[in-house]
Amino acid sequence: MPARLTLESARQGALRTLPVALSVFAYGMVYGLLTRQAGLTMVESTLSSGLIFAGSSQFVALDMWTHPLPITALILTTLIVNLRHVLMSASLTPWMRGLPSRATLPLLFLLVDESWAMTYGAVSRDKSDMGFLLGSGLLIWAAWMAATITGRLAGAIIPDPEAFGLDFAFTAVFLSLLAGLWKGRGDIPPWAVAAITALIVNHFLPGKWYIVAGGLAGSLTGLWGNHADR
Amino acid sequence: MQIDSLIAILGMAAVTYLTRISGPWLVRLVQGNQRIEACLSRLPGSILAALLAPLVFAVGTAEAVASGITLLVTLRFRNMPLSLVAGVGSLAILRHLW
Repeated sequence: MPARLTLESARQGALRTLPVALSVFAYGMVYGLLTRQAGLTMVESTLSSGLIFAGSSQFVALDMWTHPLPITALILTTLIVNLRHVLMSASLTPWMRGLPSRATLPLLFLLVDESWAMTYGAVSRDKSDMGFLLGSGLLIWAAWMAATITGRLAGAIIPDPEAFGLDFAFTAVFLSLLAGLWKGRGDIPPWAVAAITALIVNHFLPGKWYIVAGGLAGSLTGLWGNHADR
Repeated sequence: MQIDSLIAILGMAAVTYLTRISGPWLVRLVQGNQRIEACLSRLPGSILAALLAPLVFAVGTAEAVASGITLLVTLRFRNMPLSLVAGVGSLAILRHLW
């Protein structure tokens, strides 16, 4: 399969990510709001969202943001929370073969949970290519930045987002993305193993280890059986 | 802006970026191994299922019911904005009822 990166897919990516970007905007505002309470300056809030661009790890870091900063612990925690990106970028590899690294290296900066899941769904199901990640990721980055700044400026004006069920937008997005990946009954064993492992690990370990553990456990079901149909 | 804040943010950004670009490198290491490729084909669904499991089953009854409604709407209409509205809307209503 020749890898491609077209503007048409980028357009598609941005367009289809619009509703997702709204939910990213909602919790980006919460992040902006919390950075003020955590004592970050405006420049620090903006830089963190623009350069790190990984929501859950940024939220975790706010908890640890006490001066003098525990720099090593902050960096290590961020690495652990974001280890799942290794698995996500690995799963996109088939659609990057043949693309030059000067294209894929900057492109992968735009890989977050949402842009990865949207892109994986589109390239594996439709005729989209890695351009999808460009459009989807850029839109989410813009929404995340705008939301951080808005949330910070708006301060206490924003009401509790949970009252509107907005915190559930994240779950709803990923539920519909998972449903889109459904190919047949063969998906039941890996998904069940992944879900059960995640529930157990989430119960005993803090942070995002459950995503890494569940993802690996589910994929290991590929070790047995005949997968000629896949 | 203090220098230690700048160092922390740049360090956090660097390790995050490393996780994003190391996937293809990892895959190149195991290329050609059919078993590992079978595992990789199951990776995306597994990651999503793992990411979702605690959000659906370990938060509360309202969230679990709203997840069911979201899934039904998704399977019926295959339209993400509609699924979002159905999920968020039903959860908001459920939280008022409970």
